[in-house]
Amino acid sequence: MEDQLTLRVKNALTEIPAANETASRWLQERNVPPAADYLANLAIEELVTNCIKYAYDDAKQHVIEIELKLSAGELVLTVTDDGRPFNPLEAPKPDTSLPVEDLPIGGLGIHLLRRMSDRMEYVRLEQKNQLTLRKLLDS
Amino acid sequence: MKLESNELPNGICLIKLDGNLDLAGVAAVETSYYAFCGGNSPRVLVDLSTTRFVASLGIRMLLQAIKTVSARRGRLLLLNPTPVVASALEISGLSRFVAYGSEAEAGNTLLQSGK
Repeated sequence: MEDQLTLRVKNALTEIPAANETASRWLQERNVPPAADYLANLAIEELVTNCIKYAYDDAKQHVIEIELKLSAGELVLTVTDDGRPFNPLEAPKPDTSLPVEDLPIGGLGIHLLRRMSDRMEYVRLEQKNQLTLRKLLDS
Repeated sequence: MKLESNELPNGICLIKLDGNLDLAGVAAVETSYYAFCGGNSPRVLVDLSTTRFVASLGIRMLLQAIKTVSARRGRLLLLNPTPVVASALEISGLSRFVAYGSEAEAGNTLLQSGK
C-alpha cells in the first residue's frame, strides 16, 4: 500500500527547517530507517537551497513541491520546481581522494545525494525540473 | 545547533557539536568553530556523537577547519560520528579524519601525530 506526503515550500530559506521537521516526523512515525530520514532531510536542504540560489531569474514567489512516497520497501522522494532547466545528473563529480589542501570545498550537495540514494532520475516536464530519488528501506 | 568547548589536560581543544549542521546550524556556530582552529600547531578534537545531520554546508565548515589546522601544522579529528553522519563524511573524502573511541585515545592519536 502506498503512503504519501506532499510539502509545498516557498522559495525562501526560512521555509526549509519546517519542511525538514515535517518530513522527519512523518518518516519517523512510519519507522523508516535513519539513512532514509537523513536522505529526505538532505534532499530538502540541498535542492531547495539550490533552487532559491540559482533557479529563478525573477524575485517572484515560487513554490517547490516535495513529495515523499513509501511503497514496496522503498522511499521515493520527488522534488519539482519551476526554475530554469537544471539536470543535477550532469553535475561534475568532485574528486574526494585528493590531499586535504586540494579537497573541494563546494559542489558536494549533489554528490552526497547521488551517493546516499540508490537511484536518482531527472526529467524536464511541462517547464519544470523534476528530480526523483529512491532509497531502499533495508539499505 | 549548540557548540561547547573545553581544553583537555593535555592542551587539546575539545569541541562538541550538538544538533544539526544545516543552513541554520552552520550560521549559528561557524564563527566560534573557526576561532578554535587558530594558533600554532593546534590540536582539535570535534565530538560529533550528538550531531544528527550534516548538509553540504556543514561538510564545508568541517573541511575548512581541517584545512586551516593542517596549514598551521596542527591536526583535527572528527570523533565518534553516528553511522549516517559517518557515511556523509566518507562520501565527502573526510573519513581519513574520523576517529572512534574515548577522548583520551583520540587525544593520544593527535599528540603522537605531531611527533
